[in-house]
Amino acid sequence: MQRNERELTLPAMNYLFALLFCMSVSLLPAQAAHIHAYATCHGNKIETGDTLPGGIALHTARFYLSDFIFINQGKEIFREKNSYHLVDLEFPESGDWTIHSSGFDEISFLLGTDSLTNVSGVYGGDLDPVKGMYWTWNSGYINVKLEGFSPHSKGRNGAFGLHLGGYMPPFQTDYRVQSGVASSEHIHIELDVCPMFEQADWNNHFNVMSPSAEAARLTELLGKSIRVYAE
Amino acid sequence: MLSKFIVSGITAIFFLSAATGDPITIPLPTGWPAPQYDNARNPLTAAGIALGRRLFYEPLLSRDSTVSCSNCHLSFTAFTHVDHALSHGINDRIGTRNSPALMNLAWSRSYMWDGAVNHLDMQALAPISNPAEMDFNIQGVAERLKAAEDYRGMFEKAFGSGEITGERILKALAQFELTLVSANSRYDRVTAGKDTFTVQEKNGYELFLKHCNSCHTEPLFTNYQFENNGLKPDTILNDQGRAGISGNPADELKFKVPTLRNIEISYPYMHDGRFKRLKDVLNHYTDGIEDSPTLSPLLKDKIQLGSREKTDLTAFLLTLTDREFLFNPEFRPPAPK
Repeated sequence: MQRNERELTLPAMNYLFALLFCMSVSLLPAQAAHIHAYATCHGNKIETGDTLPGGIALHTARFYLSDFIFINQGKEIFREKNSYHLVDLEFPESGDWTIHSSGFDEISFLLGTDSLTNVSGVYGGDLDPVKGMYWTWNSGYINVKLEGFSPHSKGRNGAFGLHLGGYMPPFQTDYRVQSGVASSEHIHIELDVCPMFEQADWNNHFNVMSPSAEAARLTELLGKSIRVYAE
Repeated sequence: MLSKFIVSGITAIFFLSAATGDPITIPLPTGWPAPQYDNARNPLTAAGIALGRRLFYEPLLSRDSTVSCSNCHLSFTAFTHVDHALSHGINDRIGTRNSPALMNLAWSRSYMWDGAVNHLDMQALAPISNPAEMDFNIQGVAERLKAAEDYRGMFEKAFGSGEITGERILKALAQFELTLVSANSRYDRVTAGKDTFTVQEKNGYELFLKHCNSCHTEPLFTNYQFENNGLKPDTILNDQGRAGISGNPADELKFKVPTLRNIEISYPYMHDGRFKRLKDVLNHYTDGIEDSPTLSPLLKDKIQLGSREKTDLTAFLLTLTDREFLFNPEFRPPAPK
């Protein structure tokens, strides 16, 4: 009786293993792209605590990247769901994530968050207000937060705080990046902060804490300094 | 008695649903527009409302754990701080504006006197972080609630897991605040054909329609716009109102038009609480308007009201008091554990 049970059970188990194998194979993506987002100064990777050219000491550097779209020959082939990523230089791993897509020749994403996100109530994850990237006195996400000290800043002891946000015209601060890039296992997204710092108005705008023309100008400078490349 | 029973229906069904665990929707009184709040992303549940109510009365939300939302928003006074011109927070710090009455928030398009907050979910962040109010932050609130004895269980019931996040704290608070619906005043009963105005109230209603309804539009008694109603600027507070948010000079001295529901007991009045009595308010509109480039066009021409007309108008305004709302036990502090 015991033997008969084994005879019946083994083929069933083999079948189960075969089924699980097929399922696992079907669930695996054909290819995945690992995104690596970080900040640089003229191409050199930086971390918080670094002193940048010009004597700028960067203590806080956080920025949102969102709404990732992968494109092939002008057609969208993949759009990431819940596509909100807060890159915090204090936690370098926050800039690393995986997207299950391949075969693209172009990617598109926002530096910042779109206006719809800013008017739709509270979100969790990287958008949770506990992350300290939501203005509490006025609605809206801070799309880029840069804090530190600069010898050029007229702030107290040279302090500066650039909280760049705003979702309503004329001071929208999300910046759409669209870049041709070969499909690859590793995609690098570099936000070069130094061109913006070199054009900052240290006399008058060492603190930017609300939607404004200056916030929009600085965000545009940052957006234009983003470089995307495949490894 | 029968009419009272009928007009209580909306609120009763609302809380009966909450108690039984059935799906809960924001009640829509007859003749009202659709709510602005879309609760698809924050479905109301009995457990969520209960958690929000507990948080609303929770002093852990303030830096020194002394002040809760209810300090400035008392249920018996239409959720405002009666008799206080300006809101005050921890360490007796005084703010710059009168605490607004809280009701019918699902219909509001923006929050705060200057419309600084665009969504009910986010509103609580402002008082929590304001140095003159709670002087704290949502990160700290989340950490405190994680360390508190019984909150994890309440979050689990409300959201399916015991994880305590900023998102969940704010959603729970919004759920409770969405239940603060005031739609059972005598005015509402008259509108529903269940009651009648006195002659004096009827005269007052006609005066209201002629002089007030453009901004304090029925049935919510606000048009949710920002207006300069001709108040002489307070040179100490120097409050620019909506312009402080929009940056637009055309918005200077404009503030959100408040609802007149429960106006009888939500004194003092105006964004800075300068008027203690309804009589003072009416006298302002007849004799106190200060002209300026942003003054509401509707107030450019002097409003003519005699003393009897003011009395009649006041009689009508008193019909907007909703005692069922004011004394609803579901809005009071939750029973101690």
